[in-house]
Amino acid sequence: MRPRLFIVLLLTMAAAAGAQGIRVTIDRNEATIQDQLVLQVTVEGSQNAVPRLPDLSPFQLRSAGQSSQFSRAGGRTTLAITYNYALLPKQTGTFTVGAATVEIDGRTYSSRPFQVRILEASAEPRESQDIFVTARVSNESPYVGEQVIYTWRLYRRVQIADAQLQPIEFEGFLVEDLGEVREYQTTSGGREFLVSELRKALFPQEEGALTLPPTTLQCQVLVQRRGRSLFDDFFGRGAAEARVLRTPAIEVNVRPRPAAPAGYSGLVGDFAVRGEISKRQLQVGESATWRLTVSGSGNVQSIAEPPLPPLDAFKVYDDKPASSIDRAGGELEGSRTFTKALVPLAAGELTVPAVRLTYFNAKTGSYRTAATAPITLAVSPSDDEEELRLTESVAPTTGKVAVRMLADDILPLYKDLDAVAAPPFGHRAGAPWLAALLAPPLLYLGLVFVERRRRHLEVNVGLVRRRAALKRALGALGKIDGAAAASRVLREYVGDKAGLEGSALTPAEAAAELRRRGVGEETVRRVRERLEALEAAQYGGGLAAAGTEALAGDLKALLKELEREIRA
Amino acid sequence: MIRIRERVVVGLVLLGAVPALPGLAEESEPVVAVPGEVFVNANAAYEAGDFGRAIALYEGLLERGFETGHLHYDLGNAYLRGGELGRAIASYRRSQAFLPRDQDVAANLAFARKSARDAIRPPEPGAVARTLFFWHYGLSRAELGTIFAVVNLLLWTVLVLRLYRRGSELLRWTLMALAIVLVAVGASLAVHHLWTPAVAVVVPQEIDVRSGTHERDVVLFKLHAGTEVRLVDRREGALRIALPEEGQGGWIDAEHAEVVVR
Repeated sequence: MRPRLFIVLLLTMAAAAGAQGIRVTIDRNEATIQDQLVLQVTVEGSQNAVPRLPDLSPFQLRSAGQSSQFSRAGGRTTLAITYNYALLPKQTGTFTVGAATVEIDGRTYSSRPFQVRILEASAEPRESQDIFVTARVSNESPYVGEQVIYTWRLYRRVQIADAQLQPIEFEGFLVEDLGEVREYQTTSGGREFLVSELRKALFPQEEGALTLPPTTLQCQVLVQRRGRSLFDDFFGRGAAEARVLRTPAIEVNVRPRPAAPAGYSGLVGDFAVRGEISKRQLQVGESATWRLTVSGSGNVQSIAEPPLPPLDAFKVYDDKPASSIDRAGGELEGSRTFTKALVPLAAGELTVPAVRLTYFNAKTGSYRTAATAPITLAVSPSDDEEELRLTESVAPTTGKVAVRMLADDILPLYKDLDAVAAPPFGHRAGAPWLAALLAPPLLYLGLVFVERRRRHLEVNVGLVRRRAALKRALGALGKIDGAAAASRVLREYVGDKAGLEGSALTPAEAAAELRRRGVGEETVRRVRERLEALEAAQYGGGLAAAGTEALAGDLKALLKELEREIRA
Repeated sequence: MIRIRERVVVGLVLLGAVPALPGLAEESEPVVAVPGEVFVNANAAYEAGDFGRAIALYEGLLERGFETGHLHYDLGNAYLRGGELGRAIASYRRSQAFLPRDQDVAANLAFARKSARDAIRPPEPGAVARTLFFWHYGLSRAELGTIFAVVNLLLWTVLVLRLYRRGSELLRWTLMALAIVLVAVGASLAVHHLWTPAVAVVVPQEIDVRSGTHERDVVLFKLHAGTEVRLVDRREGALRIALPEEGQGGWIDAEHAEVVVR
């Protein structure tokens, strides 16, 4: 009743507004949960009006483009725009798709609601289908922390395209990938399938019921259609059929572990611990490399260093641990190696005690302890200084870290007041500097001159006498007390000049010497007469006191005359 | 010594007074001629972020003849903080001529050079030359001058001693050693005075390098702030420069570069 009324209304409105309105169609009203439905919303009479879709929560909605058509009826051109959507059913049941609405020129138009029925997927056995997906876990009741392998597979006998698996969210689990997607062929139910397999290692983190969500794979199945045309056959062109493949949710019941013993490592799985030493015979101070390897399957990413027994007889230097995780196998496996340099501190038989590792073995549901064998070392006394060896053994093993520069900036101001101190020689340092440079050589030259002169005089005593003759004579002249003294002054002067003993000269000899030194005949005669007169006075009678001064003045003039003539 | 101590005291008093009396500090500069005070005020302006004022005060001190490596260094810091890369590099270079072994100067010069845009290596002597003539590059002119004067004095003193101790071998060897040092240091000084390679540091953000001194000459290439190039020639308000490695060169406006003579 109601739909009919609606159609009547719709027709009425369309007639009134000149072909305006909204129409919703679906390609089928009954489908399985594996199918994809196509929803078309057509708006007539407007280019810009955007339709408002009804509630489509039971479906996943994906836009698939739009198209437009012009139609002519009764002399009028009508524009219709069709919006296409792909609907992926999320669950089974009967759903009512409500009215879609659109507003054109201030009026609201609505579409007709309709019902869609979604059925369970085909009940036929999977092996008889051409494409299906599966998901399973290796253990549905694991312990907390136990490794659970989740395997998802796509089986197919047909070509597919655009396969998209929605991301799977594992809540409550630690997830480790186990390699890339693997592709292989398998036979199931006597038919051959191509399989794509995805594996993940899951580690439940909490106890209780956990749910692994359903998975959804969307893909296009290519269906070959034969005989339509030669052209289609040649290019192998077929139709694509959209498919949605799902796996159901998986319930996992996570069990708590029994109470842990002391020293439990936190590992769950199957583990072993192995100890190796690089050498068993060494000297005190020498280092041996001790490798402790924990390996196994399970939560290998949580392997920590097992508690070490006391190693009092050694100095222990840690190196960086090395890890390896193998994801290629059926489950997550791996190992972690702890390397230490052991340096014995004393000579003798030393033992590296056993190292114990307690883990939870999920298979047996109990805690187990793995241990290394004790290692005995024969340590001989050291040849060298222990400290020297120690530094050698430590240097390469310690993990040095490069300094990371966080920022760069200029260095601060120089604030000492000597920055504005006046230069030591004022602003014109040139003159004192030049003086300082020139003074030493000048001083040196002066000293050289003086020294030369001194040495020259030293070798030539006669010259000294000759040069100093007048000075000595004039000096002695001031102290004469009689004719004898006056005579001696004159004779010694001649002696100095001639390099002879002056006091022994007779007047004749003195005259001869003076003549030899180029003194004029007149002066020689005066000297000779004076000497002879003084000799006569010496032996003949005293000289008056007043006469002494006159004599000295007379002699002084005579000596100067002599000096002048000798030099000339 | 006493003079320096007095200056320090004056400086400390002013350092305390400056923040309390900013008005006084600004007005009193031209009147008070104590260089220590101007220096302290300049440092305070720098610390307060007033780099323009710090630059003016440092420049004033330099103009008054207080030319020291540390003053050039502080001026370089102020220029760098004030965004004048070219002048900062020029100041650091001048500072380095006074303080060739100062780590701070070298560090800040290296820091400033990082900001220069042009990938041109600054004109610097090579490592071999630096090693062979270590005293030439490692000592400032003042230090070379002092060493020259002292060695000169010692040499002549030894010569004088030799006048009185002619046969002394010790004096003979000492004399030879001193003579070698004197010649080396003297040659270094002579190079400094007679052959002074000048460097031009680009100041504006970008300048044109032309083929000639005239405006209409072709622009050969462009240089950017902080680039150091060799100065080849000077003429009528223009500088002829050459790039250190490529050998290319051209003329730039004299106002566009700071010339640094080592």
